[in-house]
Amino acid sequence: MQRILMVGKPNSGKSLLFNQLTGLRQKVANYPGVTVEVKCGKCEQYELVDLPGTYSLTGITRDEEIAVNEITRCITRDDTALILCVLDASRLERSFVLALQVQRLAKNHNKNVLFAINFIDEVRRLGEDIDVDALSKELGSPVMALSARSLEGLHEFKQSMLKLARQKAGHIPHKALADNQSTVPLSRKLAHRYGIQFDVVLKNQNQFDRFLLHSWSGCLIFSAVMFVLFQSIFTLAAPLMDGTEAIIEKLAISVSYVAPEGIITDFLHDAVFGGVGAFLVFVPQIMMLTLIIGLLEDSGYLARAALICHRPLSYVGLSGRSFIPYLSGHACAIPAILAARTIESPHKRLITMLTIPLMSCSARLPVYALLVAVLVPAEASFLGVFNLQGAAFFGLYFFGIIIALVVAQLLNRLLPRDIEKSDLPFILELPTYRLPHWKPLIHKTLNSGVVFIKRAAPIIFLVSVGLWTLGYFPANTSLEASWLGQIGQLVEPVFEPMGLDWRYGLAILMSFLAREVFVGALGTLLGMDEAEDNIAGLAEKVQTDGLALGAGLGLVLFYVVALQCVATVAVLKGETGSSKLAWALYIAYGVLAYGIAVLVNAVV
Amino acid sequence: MTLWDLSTGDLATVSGIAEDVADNVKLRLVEMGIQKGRDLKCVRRGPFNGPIVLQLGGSVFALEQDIAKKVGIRQ
Ligand SMILES: Nc1nc2c(ncn2[C@@H]2O[C@H](COP(=O)(O)OP(=O)(O)OP(=O)(O)O)[C@@H](O)[C@H]2O)c(=O)[nH]1
Ligand SMILES: [Mg+2]
Repeated sequence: MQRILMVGKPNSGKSLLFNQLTGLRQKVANYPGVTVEVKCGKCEQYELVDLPGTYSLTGITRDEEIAVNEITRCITRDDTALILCVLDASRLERSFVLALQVQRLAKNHNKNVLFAINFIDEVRRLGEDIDVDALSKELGSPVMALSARSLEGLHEFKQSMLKLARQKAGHIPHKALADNQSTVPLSRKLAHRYGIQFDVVLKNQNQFDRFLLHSWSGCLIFSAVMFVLFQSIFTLAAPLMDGTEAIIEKLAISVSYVAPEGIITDFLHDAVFGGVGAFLVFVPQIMMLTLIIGLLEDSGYLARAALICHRPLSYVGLSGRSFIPYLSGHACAIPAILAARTIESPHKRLITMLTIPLMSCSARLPVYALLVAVLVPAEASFLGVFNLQGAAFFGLYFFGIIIALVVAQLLNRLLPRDIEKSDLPFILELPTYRLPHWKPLIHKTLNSGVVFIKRAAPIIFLVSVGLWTLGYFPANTSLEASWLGQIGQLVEPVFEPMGLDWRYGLAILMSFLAREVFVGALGTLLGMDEAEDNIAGLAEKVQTDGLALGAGLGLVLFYVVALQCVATVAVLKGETGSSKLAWALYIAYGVLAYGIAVLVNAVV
Repeated sequence: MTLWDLSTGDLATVSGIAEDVADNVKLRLVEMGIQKGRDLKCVRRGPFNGPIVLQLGGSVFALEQDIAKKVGIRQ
């Protein structure tokens, strides 16, 4: 298939345009360095390739290198039909520096170039416009204005792009700078002549920054945002969770009316509703987390937050650029580890990647929510304002971050530093503040719930069925005496120092398959252990069953620290190039988690 | 004087980049617009000696202390 390559500076809207042209849903967000991999899609008969953003053909970070390598690889190939240069209309000068370099490269290899001036909606909103015809004449390559967000000019753009791709070598740029000439002066001239008055654009932005980057109010707002983020995952989702729980209970009751007494009802009740149902309750929280992180990503605030964090993070050997991977690690560690590619120094990048698994990812949410509901009374409030459960939730996230910073400091001392490679400085472009793009955001939110269910539900179902079968037979014995109980006795000594019995032990062991399995497995086990069929939420079941404060606290902290995710280990292996390092980390975090749990159980 | 000596709201002109800055970093600074003779504005001093925020050529970006001290300016 013939290929169209999309290049452009970071945050110029390449991925949004890619999504509009291919119908795919690549990640789009309002900060530089969102895309860190080469992504392909289909647009009519062409393969469209979305690259990470780069400021120049001499890349300095890993994501820029990936983009530059792909450009140099594709430019020589016959199946590359067109190079599409995406420019940001409100930041023309920065956009042209790369675009002119790419145009020169394309000319040297007889390739077509098309300049797409994106963000034209923002320029027109200010009552200005960009003279694309004059620009096109001056540059010697076709130029088109469009907006990937408001879709204006998109249709015409698509038609011209396809036409241009078809007439191979028809529009080879007839002008381009000489090989060794810097593109900087011409970019400046072009931006000056054709661009809009940027003072207008930047005035609003700077006004916001006066507060958001102010020494005191900036730090205060930052702390407030983080606190609200983590505690609202719990408090805002609570009503939705109660709703889901009520529906599942209703279903369970109606099923026990219809189905006859006996093995089938027992199975449905304990394995299906107890196991899978216990985990479905937490889907609203996952969606809330996605929504709030999505709002932050769209706003443009994250780059500011990275700036505020740069100094404090430097003390432990990290960079302000570690902030965004850390934050996205709260959704899932895997994309977060990839996102660390944008970190300027290899040493800092490595430390960031190795500590990301300590961020509380969404797979831990069900465990946190369950244990917080068990250990913290629902009505209690903190300082009279905040719900104590919400504050406890924030505490757990915070604990993970603190441990990560301590580990980072240790690694910073221990890891050998490559003195050859000089550390690159922190340079970060601050994007314009924007309102959220609602449609993709809502889609992303709903989708996160679906993905969560699809990923974990099958494993949870299988584990529940497995546990239930082993626990049900030999028939008419107690759970203690069942096959499962016998296995349980074997592992119990390991979990005794944590203050937990064998049922918790089994649930923990099972959660090494996936963390969410813990609630499902515990739901099945406690359900089977009950004399009468009491239909209640899992939290109530655990409370009636009795879980000591020390053991419960130790258990939840165990989940904060332990790296129970094989997929994360695989990605770490890929990104660090060392499987020894990845598995060592897996074991080290496991041991640390166990140590903390035993200690807490002994002390509390 | 260097960029690091600017305070919020100051205007300045770049007079050069220190010799000891690595070539790839120097190139990047130039490509970001930091070049001899270029006018720029310090939009903000970051909190607690954090990165300084500069506006030039229609973009706004943050630069950390180590590198800001390597860029000479005149006012
Ligand atoms: N108003 C407006 N916003 C846009 C337009 N195109 C993109 N955006 C927004 O600009 C931001 C950046 O878009 P992305 O598509 O992630 O940019 P990118 O070039 O892929 O960025 P990197 O992957 O970091 O290189 C997002 O918040 C988009 O919603 C546009 O034409 N108009
Ligand atoms: Mg992108």
